[in-house]
Amino acid sequence: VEIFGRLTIDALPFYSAVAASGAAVTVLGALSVMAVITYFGAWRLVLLEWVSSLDHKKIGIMYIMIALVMLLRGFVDAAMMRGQQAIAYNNDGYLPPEHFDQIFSSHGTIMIFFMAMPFLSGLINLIMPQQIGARDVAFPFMNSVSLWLTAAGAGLVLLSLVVGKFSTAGWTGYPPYSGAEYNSGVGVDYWLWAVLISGVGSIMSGINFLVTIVKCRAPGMYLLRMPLFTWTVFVTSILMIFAFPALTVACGMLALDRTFGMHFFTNAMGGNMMNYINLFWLWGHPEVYILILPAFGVFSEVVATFSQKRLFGYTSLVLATMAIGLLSFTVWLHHFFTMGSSANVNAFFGIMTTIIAVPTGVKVLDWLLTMYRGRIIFKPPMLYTIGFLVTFVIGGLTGVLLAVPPVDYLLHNTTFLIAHFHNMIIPGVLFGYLAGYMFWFPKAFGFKLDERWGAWSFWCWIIGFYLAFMPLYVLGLMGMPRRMEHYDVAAWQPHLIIAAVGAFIIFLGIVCLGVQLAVSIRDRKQALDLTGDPWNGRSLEWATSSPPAPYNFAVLPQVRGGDAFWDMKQRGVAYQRLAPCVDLVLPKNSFVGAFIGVAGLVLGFAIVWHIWWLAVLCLAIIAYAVIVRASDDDTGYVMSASEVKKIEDARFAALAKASRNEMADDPGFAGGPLPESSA
Amino acid sequence: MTAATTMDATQISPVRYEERAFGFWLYLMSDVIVFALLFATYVVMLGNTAGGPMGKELFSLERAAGETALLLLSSATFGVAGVALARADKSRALLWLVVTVGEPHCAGVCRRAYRHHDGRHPLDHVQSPSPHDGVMA
Repeated sequence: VEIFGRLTIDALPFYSAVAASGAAVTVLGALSVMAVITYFGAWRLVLLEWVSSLDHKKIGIMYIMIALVMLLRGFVDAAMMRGQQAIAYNNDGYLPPEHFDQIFSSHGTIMIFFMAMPFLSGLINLIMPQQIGARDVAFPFMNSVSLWLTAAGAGLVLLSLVVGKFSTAGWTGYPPYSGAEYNSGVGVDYWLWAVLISGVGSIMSGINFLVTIVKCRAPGMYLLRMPLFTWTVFVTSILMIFAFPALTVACGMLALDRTFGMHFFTNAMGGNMMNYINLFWLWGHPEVYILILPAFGVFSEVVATFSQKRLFGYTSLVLATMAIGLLSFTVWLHHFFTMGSSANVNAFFGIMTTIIAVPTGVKVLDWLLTMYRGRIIFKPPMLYTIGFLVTFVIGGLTGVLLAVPPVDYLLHNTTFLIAHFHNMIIPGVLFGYLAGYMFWFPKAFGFKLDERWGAWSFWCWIIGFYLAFMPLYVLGLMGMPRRMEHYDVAAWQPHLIIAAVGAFIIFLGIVCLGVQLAVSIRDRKQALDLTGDPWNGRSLEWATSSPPAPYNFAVLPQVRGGDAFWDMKQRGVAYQRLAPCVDLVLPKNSFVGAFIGVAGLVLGFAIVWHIWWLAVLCLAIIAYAVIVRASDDDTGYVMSASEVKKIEDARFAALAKASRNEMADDPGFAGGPLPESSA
Repeated sequence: MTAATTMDATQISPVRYEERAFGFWLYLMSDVIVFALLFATYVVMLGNTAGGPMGKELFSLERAAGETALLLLSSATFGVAGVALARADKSRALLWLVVTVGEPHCAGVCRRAYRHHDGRHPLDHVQSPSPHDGVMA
């Protein structure tokens, strides 16, 4: 047995200029981050205040940083595909098929697992505990482990660009093609272990969020008083806990097939690849709702805040969220109507798929009716929300078309499908997360993001989206299959060129996001959020300072109704110092989470390359770290009452300096809630 | 602040235990899904033995039933020990724990008796499909 398994010097990507430059960019990117940290002498800060932090807000911010980096990487993949297809009529373009296949596989994998999932966990971590008036999540240490396991998975995907190759089997990894018989290299293994390792993190996140919502709410925060974002997190967490095991089982068995020559999904020897497809989508469909429900939550918060009106139909939105959660487990077969189930089975899943559009429709109407007779202020988060509403409905309609099995037989695996699911996920998921990013950025950092560049980014994203994906609907109807490296139909090319132009405009949108961040950091002194309530908000996360103290609330808020913070402002008690400060117990920082993440990354790498001694060593180290941590009874520290008082004094001094809400200067301001005493 | 209050403040409160119990229960529920799917896969692949012996020839249902009954019994007695523990009844808790530990040994005796009766272990003559690829090849 070789000491380095099947890892040899040939794994370095010197076989292709495109692959080598991708690897170079990845390595240079990592080096330049380290160089910047060294230049600013910030290693102590990074390690002691961030990497080891168990503070849910910092963990949330780190999740979102991972998401934004991976968004960039996933977009580069997309742009390369659009570029290839725009020119590859009757010629080979610039990407060889094997490389093109890696790119569409990594694009999907990255966007779902390492852009959307971290973005969602980040926003939830940052906001949900504050919305329910909690001081932290239920399990701060497990939260850190989840973060670093997600980072390990993302790291494994990035590593595949430098050492070896990535999967060519698409983001769904269907066998038998993804089996060892047809795909004996390391690509599919990279995919499998990136997904499996980050999947463990996702299950733990789901458990953490659900326990937090059920057990850690502030006094008076009854379930039906929770903000809608928290409600959507509640349902998403349930879906995470119950759907991710299916992914673990499917990928685990595929790994057994590939590594130990078993026959769960092989072509011969009794393997049943259709079982993989069922198991995969048993996770995969709920996953769509895991991603989109929190985005729906963001839209609900944003639309109420910027319509300056109470959310319309709160109860119906809660019920619709629950209904979607339940129904999301009853539609998975619509991903493979063509597999050959009986007509009755297909009909059942077709009908269920149409039915799941109903609660979503209820939500759309609720958001529209929230805006109706509201006084809308067109801040960037609101632009993204309106762009979502218009665009998402189109995607929903094409989804209902695809839900009809005979129609699906015609359109299966054409670019019509690609257009449909991008039409759901870009406006539905990504616009929601970007709206949340701009909405809650001041809460995380204490200053607002530049609104002009935010608006520019929105317009580039939405125009780019229409240009990039509407032609794919047409191409699908013309019969173009997905994942074509080159083609010989002249009529397709004009549409593909328009789609490439769309991708370029989306690129401008991403540039605008970068410029927005840079400009906002430069001009932060002019956009400080002194009150902690920059948008005249309605829920409890706006009751804390921006950025919040480590403990969020010195005194736990007493909730008396829905829209808890609005209600407090109305009663004139939002900024009262109700009780004297007391000692608070907070979680101590710990490197164990990051350590487990590094060990997880090395474990994945070792298994991919069959370096078994290293894999066993990593597993032993992880087990050891968990046992050491579990035996540690001294995981908290006490922040003394005087220290808390000092932070609170500074907070109220800042409040005194900024007595009016920042939104009061906005021309569309409809007036804050008047305290009862002055009404 | 004295050392004593530091100690008190860092003690885990009953509420924290409640959170842990609920979190662990949720973890078990997600494990239930894992096992449900593995069982479903087993049912789907029941007949796919690539010419090898079928489950009927390998497993004895009577044996499995006996073992399952013992397993459930040990869960039940462990549960009783837990109840005794909750009531802070040390001697009764110990008694039921001893009973729980004793059961597998009974099972072992039963298994040996069964083997003696059958002459050989049912898995002795199994031939699994030969792996044609992967590291085991």
